[in-house]
Amino acid sequence: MTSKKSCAKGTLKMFLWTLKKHYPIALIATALMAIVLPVYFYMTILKYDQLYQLQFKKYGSTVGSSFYNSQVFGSFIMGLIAVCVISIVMIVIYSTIIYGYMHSKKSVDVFHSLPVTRTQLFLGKYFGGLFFVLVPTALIFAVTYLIYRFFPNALNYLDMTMHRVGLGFVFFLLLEIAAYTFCVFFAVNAGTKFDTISTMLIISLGFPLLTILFNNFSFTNLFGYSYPTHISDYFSVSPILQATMIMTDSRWPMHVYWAVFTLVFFFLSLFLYKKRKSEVAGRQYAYPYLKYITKAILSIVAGMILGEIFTPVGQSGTMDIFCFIVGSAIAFSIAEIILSTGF
Amino acid sequence: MIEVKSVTKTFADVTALTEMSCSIKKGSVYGLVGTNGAGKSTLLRLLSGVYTPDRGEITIDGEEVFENPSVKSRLFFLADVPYYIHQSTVMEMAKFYARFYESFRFERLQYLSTVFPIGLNAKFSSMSKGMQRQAMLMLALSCDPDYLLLDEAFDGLDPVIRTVVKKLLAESISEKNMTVIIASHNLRELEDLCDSVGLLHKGGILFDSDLDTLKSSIVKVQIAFADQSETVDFGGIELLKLTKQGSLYHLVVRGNRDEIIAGLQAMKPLFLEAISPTLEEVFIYELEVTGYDVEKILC
Repeated sequence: MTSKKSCAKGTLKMFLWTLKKHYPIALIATALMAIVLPVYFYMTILKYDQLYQLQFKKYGSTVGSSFYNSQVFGSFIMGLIAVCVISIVMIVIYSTIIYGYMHSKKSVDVFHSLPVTRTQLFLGKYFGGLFFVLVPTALIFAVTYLIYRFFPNALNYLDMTMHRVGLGFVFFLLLEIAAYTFCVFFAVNAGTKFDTISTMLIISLGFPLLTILFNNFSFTNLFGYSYPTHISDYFSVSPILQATMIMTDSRWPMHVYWAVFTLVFFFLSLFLYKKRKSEVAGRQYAYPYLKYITKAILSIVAGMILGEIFTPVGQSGTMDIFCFIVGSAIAFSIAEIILSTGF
Repeated sequence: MIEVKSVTKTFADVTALTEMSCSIKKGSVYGLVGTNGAGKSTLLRLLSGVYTPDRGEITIDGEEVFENPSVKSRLFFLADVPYYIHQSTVMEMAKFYARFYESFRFERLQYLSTVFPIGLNAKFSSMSKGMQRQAMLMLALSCDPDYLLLDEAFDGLDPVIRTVVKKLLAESISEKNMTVIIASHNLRELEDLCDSVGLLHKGGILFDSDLDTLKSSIVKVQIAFADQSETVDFGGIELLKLTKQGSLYHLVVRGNRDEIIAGLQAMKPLFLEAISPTLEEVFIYELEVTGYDVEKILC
């Protein structure tokens, strides 16, 4: 009991410290999101409501309402996409800066000599980051909902039910947690900030690309091969990309999948964080396996792209494979130089 | 009491500490000396729980340090390169430490800000290296730890501030029986502060001794005799080193100072002077006896 209590106390101290240290950047992100969704949405409704009222008074007809509807709906969707993009960028930034102390020997000396355990440090920082990830987005969604709910004619303009939007929001929040946990995993594995960002981007973008290219390759060369039916299947290890597609696929099995994904990466990150030695700060990778995965994905993807580009039209099979091998070798050499040099 | 038992620490292909053992008494000032790469900073990081040993055990008051917040709350580690939060002031760093160290005393910090020429609202980024170190020392002392681990504590401090720091450390030691461990490559800096000293070399403690005992166990003697034709026999004393310049003999002798002087007086010298050696000299003599090439070990 006492141990659990003291663990919670240490975690809370680190959580509050994380909030105190990083809140200015979260405020900026929240302000940006507020401008692109609720403010823009409200202004659009206001504008088209006035036009609609004027038209109704003058001509007594509702002609043109579908035009107003599409404008308001468009502003809502544009704002939503912008919020998603800002959130994803912020997730990459938060995970890198919150766990950035591990990548410098000076800061590791201070943080690891503090009277808190590694678990408390990890949890305090994890939940601090999660707070910044979830609270601004939830707040923005709540304000947007209030505008929608309480604006007299908003219902006329939006032809989608709020129930579906609500489900989309919940799915997006889940994807935010998954993406943040995924990024934290890379921060724990990497030795420097550059490697954190480069690895998370290479794997997040490289894996879907790899799946798409592999499908193309298989479709061309394997008789009877068919593509996956859902686009989400391409993003199965990329919550970052999946989060930008919230409205396209929020089937309930996906909720379960991403919840399990988050849990797996959370416990994996915690385990690796506790095992991570302080002396690896500043080295390229705390755990070398990630370096090999990154290089492999980069090489295969580049090889497949070159294979696609340089294979003459109408030819496939041997030529595809030859171009793939040459392209992979070139990409591997470049990746080796960049990743071993670092920045 | 700090106990280090057969500790080994390896970094990739470099072994920083090999089967190292030592014990440091509570309330003492322990000096860790050695060349760059001898393992001083590694030992301090192990003592503060930053590193975990590959083999062996480190305990403070009978408890393991690594992953033990209750022990770590009683110690403060000040690394050789101070870390401060970007754009932070001394007060902001104080609030950071106060969050984690329950023993942090703001009134002590206020007092220290009058002793050191640094304001509490001064930004670390605008300070010189020496001032940053002073500010970090202010914070370290404000945490009021039982164990203070200082890596190259006097590096970059001017002579006046060094004296102030030594005085403050002495106060803390006498007031609350604080244990201080100072790592330095400079023996002269530790001489007037430490109770005991350990010499680290290539990952092991070559020499570990109480300073008073160490210094009083060796005497430097200059002696001359009226009759220069005869060869002098110093057979009754334990000679560590003997050189002769003209008629003057320079002896380095191990043993009780009074007994040595009495023994040499009995030889009826024309001139006799006994000098206490510096800590550096004591180390050099002791290491030469054990067969080490001192030039390569001490800078």
